[in-house]
Order: sequence, then structure tokens, then C-alpha cells
Amino acid sequence: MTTLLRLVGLRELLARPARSTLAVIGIALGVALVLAIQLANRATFGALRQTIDGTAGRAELQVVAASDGGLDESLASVIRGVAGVATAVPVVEGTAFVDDGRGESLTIFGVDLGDEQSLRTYEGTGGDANEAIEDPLVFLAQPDSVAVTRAFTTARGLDLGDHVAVLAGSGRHQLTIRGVMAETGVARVLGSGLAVMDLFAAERLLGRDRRIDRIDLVLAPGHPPAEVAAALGAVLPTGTAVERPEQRGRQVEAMLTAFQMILSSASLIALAVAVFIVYNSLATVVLERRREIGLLRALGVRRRQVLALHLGEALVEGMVGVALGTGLGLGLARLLAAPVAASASGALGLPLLVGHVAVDVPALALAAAAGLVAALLAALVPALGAARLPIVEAMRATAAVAAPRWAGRLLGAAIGCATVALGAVLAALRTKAPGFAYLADAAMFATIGLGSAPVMLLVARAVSPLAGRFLGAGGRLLGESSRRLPARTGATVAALTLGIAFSASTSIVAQSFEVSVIDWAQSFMGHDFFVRSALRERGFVNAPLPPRVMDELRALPEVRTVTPFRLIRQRYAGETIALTGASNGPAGKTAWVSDNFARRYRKRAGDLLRLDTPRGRRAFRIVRVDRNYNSDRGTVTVALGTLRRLWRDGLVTDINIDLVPGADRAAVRAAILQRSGAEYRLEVLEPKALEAQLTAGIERTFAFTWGVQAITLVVAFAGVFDTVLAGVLARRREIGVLRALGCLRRQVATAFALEGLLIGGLAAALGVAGGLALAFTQVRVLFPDLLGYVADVHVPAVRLAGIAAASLVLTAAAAALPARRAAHLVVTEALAVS
Amino acid sequence: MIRVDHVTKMYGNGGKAFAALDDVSLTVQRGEFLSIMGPSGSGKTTLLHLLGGLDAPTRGEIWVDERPLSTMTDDEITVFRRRHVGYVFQSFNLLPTLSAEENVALQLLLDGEPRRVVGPRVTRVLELAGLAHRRHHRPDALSGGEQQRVAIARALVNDPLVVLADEPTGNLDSRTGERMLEWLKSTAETTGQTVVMVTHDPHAASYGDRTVTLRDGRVADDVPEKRWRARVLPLVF
Repeated sequence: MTTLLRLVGLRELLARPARSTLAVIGIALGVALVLAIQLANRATFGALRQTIDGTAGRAELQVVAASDGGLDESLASVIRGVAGVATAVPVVEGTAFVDDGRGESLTIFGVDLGDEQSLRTYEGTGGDANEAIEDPLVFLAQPDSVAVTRAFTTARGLDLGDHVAVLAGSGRHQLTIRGVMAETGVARVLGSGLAVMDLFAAERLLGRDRRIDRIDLVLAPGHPPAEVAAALGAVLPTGTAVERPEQRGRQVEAMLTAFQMILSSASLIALAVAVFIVYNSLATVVLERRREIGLLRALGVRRRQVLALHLGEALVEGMVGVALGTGLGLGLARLLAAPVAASASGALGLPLLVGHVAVDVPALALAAAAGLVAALLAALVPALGAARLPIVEAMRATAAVAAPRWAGRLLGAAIGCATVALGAVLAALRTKAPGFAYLADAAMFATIGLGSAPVMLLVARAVSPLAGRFLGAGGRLLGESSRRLPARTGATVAALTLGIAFSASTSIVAQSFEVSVIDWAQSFMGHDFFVRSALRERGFVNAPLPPRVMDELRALPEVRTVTPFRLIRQRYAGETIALTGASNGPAGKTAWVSDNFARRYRKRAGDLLRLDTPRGRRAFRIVRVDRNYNSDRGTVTVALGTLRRLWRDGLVTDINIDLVPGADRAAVRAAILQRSGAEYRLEVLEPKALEAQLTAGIERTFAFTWGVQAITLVVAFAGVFDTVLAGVLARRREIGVLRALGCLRRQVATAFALEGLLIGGLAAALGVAGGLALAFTQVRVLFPDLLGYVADVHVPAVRLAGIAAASLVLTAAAAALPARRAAHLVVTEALAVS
Repeated sequence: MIRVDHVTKMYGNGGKAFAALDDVSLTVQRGEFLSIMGPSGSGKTTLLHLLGGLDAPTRGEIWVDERPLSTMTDDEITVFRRRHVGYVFQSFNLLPTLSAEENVALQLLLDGEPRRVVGPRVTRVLELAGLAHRRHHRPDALSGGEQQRVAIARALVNDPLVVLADEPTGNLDSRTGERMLEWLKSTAETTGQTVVMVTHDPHAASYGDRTVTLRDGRVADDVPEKRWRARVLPLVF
């Protein structure tokens, strides 16, 4: 077998470098995407676990608040009295921003330094553990003391005793560097963005009124965590929870998994396109080698050897593709890891630092296996076809061109799959069950894969006479290649259709979320200005502002009303939801809930909702279910006064401003920025600017998919080039005959260019239709399930038309070169082709 | 009708260059049926390609219907071929996805003739070919003889000035071959078309008014049909 592969197969691969290269590139790009996304995902997960483990230190249990800053500091002394608790360390964790123009965020870690030594290690730059702080007494005595990392001071040319200005919940503060940490322990996990302060000083900086985020516990030997947790449950007030540090990561991991599933599915689509390209390439090779296959069989080569020969060639292409794809994937992973982690960090509210992307053997093995299996899978049908060729038929110069027997069967199977897809779509929309949505997507992909060839045949048959009538002789020859090589052309249509369907569905999903978010924003856009911090705390939440900002705004004579909002995180049913306090919100003991909250926790208007507050558990009657995008787990809105009172929170997150009639908007904006802007780093947005910000946010979320789309489409269009070129090669003799009979060069070129356009047109039509169906299940069922956000379907007609038009233009461009080659074939040489 | 004036056709470059045709001159009269014979590699097919404008001579000139081919552009030669030349190939060269009728109509359709004009002309030649009842069949459903009749019908449908036939009976049994040649000859006599036929077969060549023999790219012999019959056929049969 190896002899046959060496003598015939490898030489064949080298003899057709363009086609082999195309197949290799297809596999390489698929493997690269699979590997890059796997590695980026694993790196993000690794960073997440490091952050959670690193910040927890040696803590075995954590007592956490029901909402941000929601634990009373005095609770620590109560906990210390519980049997089995060796150490209880109160922790305040929040975000501040360096006020140096760059606005880098700092994770403020406020701890009781006396107890902290038993939990976490802070190493001094001299290398001695726990010597990061030069003079502990001075550090504790001065509330402006802060310990930062060596990387932080080096980047800014600072040293011990120097000052650094920061913006935090309580406003602008000048801190003094009284400790410098090496990047070990917690500092390694959080990187240069870590700043350690004394608990009391951190509370003041972050605007907390003797309230802390959590209490980390080290247990006495011989006391299992479950036993201590049970004992703690008896003494802790309502609204506090006891959990193991790793539990903190579960919701985060679930969300990260959903996000990464979407990325992984995109990479699988690229791999599916690669399968079609390899299939296409090998089907053409088999067609061109019919006589050679017949000859080999006549010389005594067995059917299974012919099968193995073709599979072997595909395997060689697959191996080269895997080798190239692995290198490309490693590079791509390094590019992807940081943005994926940043995006996850923003969405999860945790600082995630991805250092270097480790070369992960399981990920490498998975990507390599995916590439090789894809290559073999793609080769199976053409290889079986080659093995089954009757010797006499194979020895003929050309194949018979009767309609393939399989076309009818494939069409039947495709119609069956389409019926299943339709049924599953309807069931998914009715039941919202993700299982139906996955079934619908799988059935749709199967419909595209199975139906492209027979549909292409039908279209070619229908279009040819019509095109002849309107486009002359060139049009009359349209569809010839498709009719001659239906399986190969069908594979190209399928690949392109998949690429276009993916692009179309992504565009529809993006548009749906964009319009839905803007529609939601319209509900609070009836104001002249939106004032908020330009700094983001934990990604998407704006940094809180002290209440005195409102007084400064009210003092402006042109300002008629100032409407504040507060957004905090709240625990509900073991997960973190968003809690909004709105001054125009529901009255008294009532609440509004978002539709994703209602869907997730099965609540509706009229139900009672129990929330844990720092003042104990409180019940709210749900009076409205509305759209809200503050959190993937859902948002509860209560009156601002209620939030301030029950949650003991005086900060604000957003402020809406209305001006007196006739006020000069530009002058007011300038006045706000001049008076308070610099101190609180405010941004003052008009409704249009806010809308643009929201739109940009959605586009950033979908930014990853554009790259995958681009790669998928490039591979698919390369397939069109290959298909039309293969059509030219397979029909050389015919072209010679046509030219001998008086067919002009431009008529030949037109025929092949139109062939490309026909492929592009059909793929665009099928792809946009498939994209619409995919988008419906994604927006209505899958994304709410995976990402937690609910949206209405909005179809971007112009963008879809653009995708269809672009696919036509690009297919015409891809077909242009082979069409030109067809037109310039030397007639006498073409006639000599046997 | 056709004048070949000191035509040379070279292939290859430098030391590997060789002359497929070497200073060939001949004239074919309107309505004449010329057979070209010669062993393999003698330049027969090359000459036919040059006469049809499929290739250009390295030196010399070819005149068809008083027009020098070298002065015509590629498009002009193509249109000239489409309107005034009929081609018959040894291996029929019918387009496999087109029916017999569509294959015959192809040249007229390429020329933009409307269907109301094309239809009756195609019907007429298919009836002459005895294939009216097989008009909707594709090539793979036709016998070799039927396929060649379709190919000849295709060559005649545009009432060409010249029919160029390259081994038209090479893939046919002798009886079918004879019927093809009789049809070709009678049509040429009826319509006054000029026929240039390349063949290996002396018997086929005897259907011509005149036979030119090529050897090593040169005209080795040029004799009228009667003398040809007298000289060659007794040796064959």
C-alpha cells in the first residue's frame, strides 16, 4: 500500500500543487481556529481558577454578603467564637482607578493585616515573605497607606514614600506608597493591578460605612468545613451565605462555558467548511484520474487498495494541514487569549490575568484529531466512488452524464432533514427547550450538506435555457459544469452556504441584541444628559459616584431635575443578579423584574420575591416584568430610597439630567465637566452618544465572530475558485470543441464566470434563508439559555443584502481567473485532451 | 476557395524545434472534395487546424474565400469559423449534456440566431441525417454511427463554405463509415460546399475528387481521384 501511495499518491499530490495547497489551507485554518479557541478558553479558565484560588489563599470557607459591601464588619468577632474557626479575616474588595490619564484600574484589597498573615502571602521585593510593608506601624497609623506591586512602581517610576492619586467611590484621594510587593502570592494572580490597604482605610476609600464584602476563614484542625458551615449557619444573620472558595467560581464558570461554546461552534463551522473543500478537491481528483484508476485496477490493484490510496492522500493533506494549523493556532491563541480573558473579566466582574498561553497537550491532540478526522471524512465518499468504479467505465475518456442516481435520494433526505428542522424550530420556539434548538441547528446543517448538490442540479437545469434566452450563448452554457460535476459543485455550494448562513445568523443575532438593547435604553433616554463615571468597575459596571456629585449638579441653574440610579450586585438563589435602585422605580415593597430574571427563576407579575438585605430578608411583590440588560442572570429594580435604606448604600451609578427650557446644552455640558468632571472623571453623554456606546459594546461582543466569519468565507471562496477551475480542467476538450465551432473567448469566459455567479447566487439565497432560521433559534432559545439575555429578532435587511451582494461579487471575482484561463485555452491543445 | 501559400508550422524552440509542416502550398477549388492522407505525424491534422484558423502558421499565408487568415483577429476568425466552416471530428466531440438537437443547433445559437430560424434548419439536417426521431436523445444514448451523423449534421447546419473533417470515419465500422462518406459527398455535391478530409484510410480517401499525400510535413503527392483510384485502390483491395 505504501508503495502505491509513494508511487502514485504522493506524486499526484505534488503534480497538482494548487489543489493540494487549497485542501491543506482549508484543514490548516480549521485546525488553527479549533486549537486557538481551545487554548484561549483553557487559558481563561486557568486564570479564573488562579484568581479565585489566589485571592482566597488558605481560606477554607468564606462568609459572603448578599450584595456588594453588605456584611457588617463586627460579624467577624461573632464568627471567631464559632467552634472550628481558627481565624476569621474580614475583607473589603473593590475597584479604584489611577488618576493619571490612563485610568488603570486597581483591585483594592482591604484586609486586617494582623490576621491576614495567616491567610495570604505578600512578599517583599527583597524576597522575604511578609516583608512587603516597610513599617507596619506607620502603615496602619496612616489611612492613606497603600502597598502596590513592583511592576506598578516600575511602570510609573515611583518608589516608597511617593504619592499616587486614585479615584474611588468616595471621590479623589492621594495615597502614599508604604509597601512594595514582589509578584508572588496574591500579587502574581492579580498582577500590577493589586493594591493592599488596611481594612478601615479601604472602607473609607471605597465609600463603605464599616461594611465588608466577605470574611475568609481558616479552620482549626479536625473540623470539617461542612460541620463548621452548619455551625456558622446558626449564628449568621439572614442574607449571608457560607461557601467554599471554589463555589464562587461556579456561576462564573457556567457563564464562561456558554460564551466559549459559542466560540467553539464558530470554529467547528470553519472545520465543516474545510471538510467540503477537501471533499471537493478529492472528488475532482477522482474525476480526473478515472482512466488512471481503471488502469491500476486492470493491472491488478484491488478495490480496497484504491480506497486506501485516496484516503492515504487525504491523510497526507490532513497531516500537513494539522502541522501548519498547529503553528497558526498557537499564534492565533496568543492573539485571542487576552481579548477573550478581558471580555470574560468584564462580564464576570473578576480580574483575570492571562500570562502566557500554555501549550496544552489535550488541546493539541483534540485539534489534530479534528483535522485528521475531517480530512478522512471528506475523502471517504470520493475514495469509495473511486474504489467502486467499474474498470471498463473508468477507462473511457469521459464519464456518462446521466443525472446521478443519488441526486433524487439526496434531495429526499434533505427534504426529510428540512422537515425535521422546521418541526424542531417550531417546537423550540414553543417550548424554549434548548434541546429542540440544537436539533433544529443540526438538522439545518444536514439539510444544507445533503441538499446543496441536488438543488444545484435543479437550478442549473432550470436556469440554463433561461440564461441562454437573455444572456446569449455564454448564458446557454451556464450550468454545464454544475450538471457535469454535481457532487463537487454541490460541495462548494454547501461550503459557501454554511459560511453565508453563519455570517447571516451572526448579523441577525448582533442586530437583534443591538436593537433590543437600544429599545431598552429608549425607556430611560427621555433626558437631556446622562452623567456617570467614565471608569468601569469590573468591566461593565460604571464606577460608583459619591452622592455629593448630585448636589453639585443640582447647584447648576440650568439643571431642572437630577434623577439618580444605583446598580449593585445582589445574591439570589445562589447566583449574582443585578439590583437597581431607581428614583422613578416601583413604590414601597414592590419590585420590577427583568424578563430574563422571570424566565430563569420562573417568576411573574404578582409573585412574591424575597431578597436578602443587610437588614435581613425582605419580600417584594413583583408588579412588572420588563426588558433589562444589566445582568445575564436578571435584574430586579426597587425604589432608590428602598435600596438606600435596606442596603445601606448611599452611592449612585447613573444620573439622568433634565435642563430648564431654553438652556444652552453645550454650555451646561461644559460647566458640568469643568465643575465636577475632573474630580470624579465624569462622562456627560447625550442620548445619541449613549446609544452609540451601547451599539459599540454589542459590536465588541461579536467582534470575535467577525474574524471566524472572515476565515470561513475566505476558505469557501477559495472553494469557488477551485470548483470553477476544476470545471475548466474537466471540460478542456469541450471548450476546444466550442472554440472550434465558433464560440468566442468572451462567450467561454462568460459561461464560466456565470457558473461562479450561479454558485454564489444559490449559496447566498440558501445561506440567508438558513441564517434566518438559525438566528431565530439562537435569539429566541439558545442565547437566552446559554448567555442569559433575552432579545427580540430584528433582521438587518440591508446587511443581509450586503452579505448576499458581497458573496455574488466575491464568487464572480473567484471565478474570474479560471474563466479567463478557459477563454485562453489553446484550441488545438484542448482538442488533443483525452 | 482555399489557398495555402508556402506554409510552415514549427513546434518547440531552439534545438528541439521541428517542422510539423514544411513549406506546404496547395489550392482547393470551390466545391472540391479534397482528401489528405499520410502516415501519423505527417502534418495532416496540423494542416486542418491551420485551415480552420484554430492555429496560426509560423510562416506563409492561408487564404479562405479570398481572405488571408493572418490579417484577421481572433474574434474575426472565430466568427468566420462559426458562419462559414463546418467541423467534423474523429471522436465526434458532441457535448454530453446537450441533446442531439441542441448539439446541432449550437453553432447557430452561438451566432445569436433566433429559435424560430434555428428550429427549422436543425429539423432539416436531422431529417437528412435520418435522426429526426432521435433528436431529444443525449450522446450517450446514441450509437457511434448516430453520434457521427449528429456531428456531421452539426457541421452542415450553417450551410458552410468549407467542411473540415478530421478522420470522420476513424471510430466507425466500415459500413457505417461508408454511409457517412456518401452522405458527406452527396451533400457537398448538392450544395457546392468545399470539403477537406483528413484520413488514414485509402478507401475513405477515394471518395475525394483529389488526394494530397503528406509526408514529413511536405506534400509528397497530389493526384486527382481517378488517378488515385487507379493507383492506390488495387493495392488495398
